[in-house]
Amino acid sequence: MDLEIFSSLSLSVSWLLLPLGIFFFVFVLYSLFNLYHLFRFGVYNFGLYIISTIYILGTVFLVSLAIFITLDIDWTASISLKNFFEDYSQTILPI
Amino acid sequence: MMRLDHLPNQRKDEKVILFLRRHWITNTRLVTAAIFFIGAPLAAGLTVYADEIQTWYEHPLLGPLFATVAIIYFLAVWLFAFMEFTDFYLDTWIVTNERVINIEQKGLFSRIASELPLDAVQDVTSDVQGVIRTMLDYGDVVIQTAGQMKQFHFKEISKPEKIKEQIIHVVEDNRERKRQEMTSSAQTKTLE
Repeated sequence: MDLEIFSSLSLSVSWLLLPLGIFFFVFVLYSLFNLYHLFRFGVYNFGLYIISTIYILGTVFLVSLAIFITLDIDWTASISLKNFFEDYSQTILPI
Repeated sequence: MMRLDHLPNQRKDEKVILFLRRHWITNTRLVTAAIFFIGAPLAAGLTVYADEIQTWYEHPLLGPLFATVAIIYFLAVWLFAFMEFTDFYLDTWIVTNERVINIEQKGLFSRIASELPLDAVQDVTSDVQGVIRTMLDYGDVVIQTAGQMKQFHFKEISKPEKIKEQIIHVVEDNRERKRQEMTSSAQTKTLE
């Protein structure tokens, strides 16, 4: 009986978007803090603009890549614990 | 943004003599660590574990989980590297013909800015230790102040010996200028 209840439990993968969303928020917040510090306290010169541009371009590239990967995933899928253990194979977790 | 021609509390006729930052080589640890932490997992994922990762990625649960962890990991490394660089970039030392300014960034939320009038400078020493520092000519300069005031420590700067000489020269010039000002003001008072 207990095993049946356990088997009927399912987990939506969309829950993973929560930590990802929190991380994105922290990432953007800290990036803005960083840029603020550079522009508020950095010494005015051309190098400051180069550094900021590199960081902004790098961040835009990485975030775009992350969004591209995220959009490619089917977040509506849910997996029942029963299926998960049935799907387990030596290929996925070779332990 | 701080401008060297408009320093905070700038005095009349104050000019910047030296603007110093740590030697660029001190960033190699950061660059090496960033390349390793980004490059090693990428290289491993694209070569040795390419098949396993493809299998994980196609799994309905492991795929999203793996993508989430990878996104967080790479963005965290990028952010951390830039925060460390900001720490390096904002640590600066400025020597003017009036004072020494020490600005130290400690993390993202702690910043110490202190200044010292050149009159208070008692002793300046340079310190270069180790093979790499000697070869690349970088090290520390310590400015000892009169009385029980703290030391000013210029860390890992380029050409410390030359900088030490320049600071001593600026301090002597400042003393000479003050002496002349006092003499001329005393002469003016006598004439009056």
